[in-house]
Parts: sequence; C-alpha cells; structure tokens
Amino acid sequence: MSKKVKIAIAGLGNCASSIIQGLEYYKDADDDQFVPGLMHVRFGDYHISDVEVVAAFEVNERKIGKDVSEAIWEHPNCARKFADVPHLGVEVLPGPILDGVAPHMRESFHVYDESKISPVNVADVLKESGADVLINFTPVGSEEASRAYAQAALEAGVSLANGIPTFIVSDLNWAKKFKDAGIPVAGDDIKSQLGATILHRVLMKLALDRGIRVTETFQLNVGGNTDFENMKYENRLHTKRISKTQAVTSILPYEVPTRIGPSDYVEFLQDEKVCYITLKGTNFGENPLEVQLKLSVQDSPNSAGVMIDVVRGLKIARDRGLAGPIYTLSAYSFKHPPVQIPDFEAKELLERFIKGEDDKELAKPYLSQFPLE
Amino acid sequence: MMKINVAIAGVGNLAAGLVEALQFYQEHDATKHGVQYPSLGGYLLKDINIVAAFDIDARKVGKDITEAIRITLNKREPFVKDLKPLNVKVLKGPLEDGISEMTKEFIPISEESEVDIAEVLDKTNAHILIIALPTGANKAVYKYAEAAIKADVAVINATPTPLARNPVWAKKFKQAKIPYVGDDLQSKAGGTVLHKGILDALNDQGVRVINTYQLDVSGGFEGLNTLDVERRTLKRQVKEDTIRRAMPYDLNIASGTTDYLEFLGDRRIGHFYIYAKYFMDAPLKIDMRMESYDSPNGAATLVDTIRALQIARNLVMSGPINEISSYYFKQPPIILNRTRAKEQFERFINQY
Repeated sequence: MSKKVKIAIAGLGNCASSIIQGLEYYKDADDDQFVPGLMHVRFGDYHISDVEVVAAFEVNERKIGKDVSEAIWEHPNCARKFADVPHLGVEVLPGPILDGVAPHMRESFHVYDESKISPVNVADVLKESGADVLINFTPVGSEEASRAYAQAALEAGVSLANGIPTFIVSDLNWAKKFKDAGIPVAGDDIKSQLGATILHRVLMKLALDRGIRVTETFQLNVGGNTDFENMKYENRLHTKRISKTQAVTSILPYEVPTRIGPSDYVEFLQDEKVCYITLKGTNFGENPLEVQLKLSVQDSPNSAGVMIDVVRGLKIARDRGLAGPIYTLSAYSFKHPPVQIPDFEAKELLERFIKGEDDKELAKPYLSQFPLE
Repeated sequence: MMKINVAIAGVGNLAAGLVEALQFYQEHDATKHGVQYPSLGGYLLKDINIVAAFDIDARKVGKDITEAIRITLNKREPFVKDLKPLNVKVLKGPLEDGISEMTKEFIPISEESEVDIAEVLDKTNAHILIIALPTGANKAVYKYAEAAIKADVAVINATPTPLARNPVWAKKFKQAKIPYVGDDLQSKAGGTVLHKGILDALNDQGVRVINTYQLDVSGGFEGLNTLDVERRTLKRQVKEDTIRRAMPYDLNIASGTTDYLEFLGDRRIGHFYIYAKYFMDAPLKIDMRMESYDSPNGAATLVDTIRALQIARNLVMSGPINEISSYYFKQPPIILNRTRAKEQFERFINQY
C-alpha cells in the first residue's frame, strides 16, 4: 500500500491554490490537532502531508509551463495567500479547452493559442504520474471538458473527485462506467466547509423539525472571482442552479417558492463571497416568521479542506478495492451526490466508513435514490 | 382649481401605484399619510385625473384601468381594498420594442387594433402623458413622445430612454412650446436615494468609503429584464455613474437590480454594504437591508412630478424643465446633488 495520496488537478484556479497552500500550511500538524476544515489531520491511514500533487492541467498560458508552486499566483487567481509554497517540481501542462472557457471568459482566463500549443493526452499523463485521484476543478458549465477528463480518468484507472456541478458521479451511466472499471469516484459539486448551501440546509431542516411552514425562501450569492464572472450568463449555470437548489429544496416534503443561485459578479469582492439568505414562514395560528442572514467568507479556502478529505477518502476506497460512487463520502462532501443523506447523519456514516465499515451497507437506506446498486 | 388630466402609457407597477394613490387620498388626509408635498402650487392629489391609458397586454386591453392593474399586482395585497371603477378603458398602444427576449413568453400581446395616440390624447383633453414603458423600449417611447407633441400634451418620461437629456428631442419640444421632464423616474424612498444619503453622510464626516454595493432583487418585470446580462450591465453602469459623480473621490461601487424573484411580486429587497476607513484608517462596516414596494415608491414621485409639470404648463414654459428633472429623475439633463436639486425645485414651485 502506497503511503502517499497522489493527486492530479484539472484547473489550477483559486480552489486548487487554497488546497496546495493548505497542504504546506498543515504539513507538520499533529494527528490529533484540530484543523479547521478537515475532518481529521490523519484521515484513515493518511496524514495531510501524505497528499502530494503529481500533475496539473490548465488552459491559461500564464500558468502553463510553470511549476505548480508559481502558477497558483498567476492572474486571474485571487485566492488569499496564507502559505508560502516551495518548488514542487510539477510542471503545469496544457489541458483540453473544449467548452471549459465561455466566450466572455477568454480574456480573463488567458487561454492558450490552439495553433501554437496542443493539449497533452490527459490519460497518458495520469498513468505516467502515478496519480490516484484526479480533481476536476474546471469552470462551472464545462460539460464536454469535464467528460473528457472523466474519460481520461477511466482510461488511466484513476479516481475522479468531481468538484463542479457537471453531473458525472451522480449520472447513472457514468457511475456505471466507473463501477465496471473498478474505480471509486466521488462527486458532484464540492460543498464548502461552511457555505451557503449547508447553512441554508440547516435552516430549512430546523424549520421543518420545529413545525414551521416555510412559505418562501431565497439565497443570493455574490462574489468577485472568476467563478462568479464565469456564471454571469444564465446558460453557463444551468446545472449549478439545479445542484444548489435541489440541495436545499430536498429538505422539505412540500414545494415552496424558492430562488437560489449565483446572483451577481461584483469584481472588487475578489475571492470574498457574500451570501444572503431569507426564509419566510408561518408558525402557530398562521402567524408570520422571518429569518434573514448574511454570510461573508473567503470562497476558495472554504472548500479546500473538504477536498483534501475527499481525496484521502477515495484513496482509502482504492486501498479497499471499492468501485463506483462512494456514497457516504459523496453525500457528506458534495452538493449533488448520487444519494442525499441529511448532513449530520452523513458525517457520522462517513466516520464509520473511515473506520472500516462498508460504504454501501452504511448508505443502504438511501440507495433507492440511485438505482445503480 | 382646474383638474390635471393625465394619460399613461404602460399599465404596470407605476400606473397601479398612481391609480391606488388617487383613491387612497380621497379617503385619507395627505398631511398625515406619507405625502411630501400635500399641496404643490395649490394643486392637491385629488386634482389629478386619469383620462386615458395605453398598454399592449391582452389581459389588460379593453378593461377598466382599475381592473387592469390587478393583473400587474397579482402578488400583493391592494393598499386600497375596493377600487371604484374610473371608467377609463385601457387602449391598445403601439408595441414596437416594448417586449424583450426575457419578457415575451410571459406577456400575451393583445390583438386589438392599435389606437391613434394623438387622437386619444386630444379627445380626452389630456394635459400630460406619462410614459411608463419597460426599460429598453426606445422606439415605443419615441412614438409616444411624437404623439404627445402632435396633441400638444406635456410628457413625463419615467423610462431610462434618453428623451429629456436628448438635445434633438429638447429642440422638438421647445419648438412645439411644450414642457417635459425625464429621464428615468426615481423612487421617492428607493435604494438609490438611501444609498446616496448614507454615502453623503459618511462623506460629510470625513469617512473615506472604499467599497460599497447595493444589490436589489425584485419580482416586477423590470427585474425579469435584468436577467438579460447586457441590459443589466448597461443599467448598472448608469446607476454606478450617478453615485460616483456625487462623490468627491473614486471608490468601488456596484449598484443595481441583481436578480428576479418572481414570487416577490411588487416587493423589492435591497442589500446594502459599505466598507470605509475613518480616523487612523480604522475600518468601518455597514450592513443594511431594505424591503419596500415598487408601485407606491414610484407613484409618490409621480404625483409631485405631475403637479409640478402642470405648473410649468401654466407658466407657459417649454422644453426640458430642469427644476423638476434634476430633483425627481435618475438621468436628468443636469445632475445636481440632492440638497441643491431640492432647493431649486422648491424655489420653482414657490415662485408660482
């Protein structure tokens, strides 16, 4: 059993930057130390310092050819710097562009010239690098590009951690492909440590449990990084809206007027994300009740810890010879998993998975949501 | 006092607010219920008389205006419970570019034949035409303006289409000896007013604002229109510019309608944020939330504008009336800060 968790990253943006900085920042953490954002410093057999970047793919010509440790500081990345990253000896390679870059993003992303640079064969690189897990961090709306990376992972026998709301792990056909190939995967659309989705879900669950009838609810999100710039156009964020909305509406057994989504790009916010949630309802005697809250958070570090747990969870699954979606890991860590499990229970089930229990057994009561098994 | 006869093009939120307000203040004392100027040059709210209305929506055309506004306001409780019919039937106006890509699937177009606007204005003895069409309906706005000139009727341009600030039109109105005001009617107590007021106050105290935003969500069709990124970006730039011009230094501003929440109906919710530095660069943050209704907020400004424009008519003024436009519109020909605009407006009224 390899004691390392080798990861490849498709899309070296703010999320990747925060992960890479985090690996450095916490490399000497004690096993039992509390680290905000990680379930455990030692997750199963794997210490955070066992996670190692072995390959990175990009479309930004300012990042391609540089060492990962330098590329993460290139424009348009704007994630806050919280750690110095030493030279990693991993060169950023040109990945396929496909639909990863929306027409209005060509400039911001500094897309390479396809007549001068041709993309590498991702599957070959994955094999040569010995990667265990490929993280998909391409921009929201990358349907073809995400599937190209998923296909490469399939061919190379590498696990996929799908960070974006293109439905792959939660898609029956793709889930079956990975299952048949004997590869464990987790997805889709990474959840934040404490983001809008989890906060909104908890609020809805609370209303439900306390017998409040919710009459309308909405969640507005604004930010200034390229994630928000990319999602300015409605056609780019179709699946994102579904993913974010279902994560919240799935809590209630009845329908409620709801509006959820990335609402606007406010450039000067940079990597700060601001979220407003309003929930209106009625209590006893149909009397009105209203909750309003504002969440303000650095966007990309918010999911970095979760992803570092995910890649180690997938490595454990590989060690155990599991295949297909890892249900408990996906339910806890992603907004649009194959099966939704209430958050607190999902955490408990995932802890039991880490300790050695069988993922499918643990998720059994929920598996009817996803007729793969 | 003579009545002021008004016609309105576009039976949306603004028309709804006006119709309700006129009835509301027949039963309520204006001095005690939120009217800034109960009397303007001797004109009271009850002197305003709606005589004609135009729209293109099949659900509205042919109905009495008091019924037609219910379609606009389907989501909110009326401020006036039992509206008495005004016996003003909504007539089919010109469509032109009054419908955008975003709104077309929601609005059934009336198949009635289009009326001659100038003829209707003439017959109904209208003094003032209010243009309250959706943002971006430039051609339709110009068509109504043309008809008003033909019928010798003064114009209030509530839309952002350049009319008052367009020199070509200013000349036309001047030559026809007709006064008019615009562009882009400002809500009485809306987000922009509040935002500018607070920035002003901070400024006055030597606080330096670094970043600020005002992001609104609404359920009106104006909100739906903003889902079109191009239209939204344009509107946003205009709003941000007016705020930036009122500040003595540069700062980061984002301001505008940010999303459409159908179930909000006539409601509007604004989230405000200000990050500033003051003495010794100590940071200062302000978070605010404002919930309001669009139609009364617009109508509150409209009833002042109508009466003031009538005064301009009585004074035989012509062309753009800056004393009114600078105070009540977001994009007037001349932008003044609020205090100066108010002084100028009140001086204009008092001389009458």
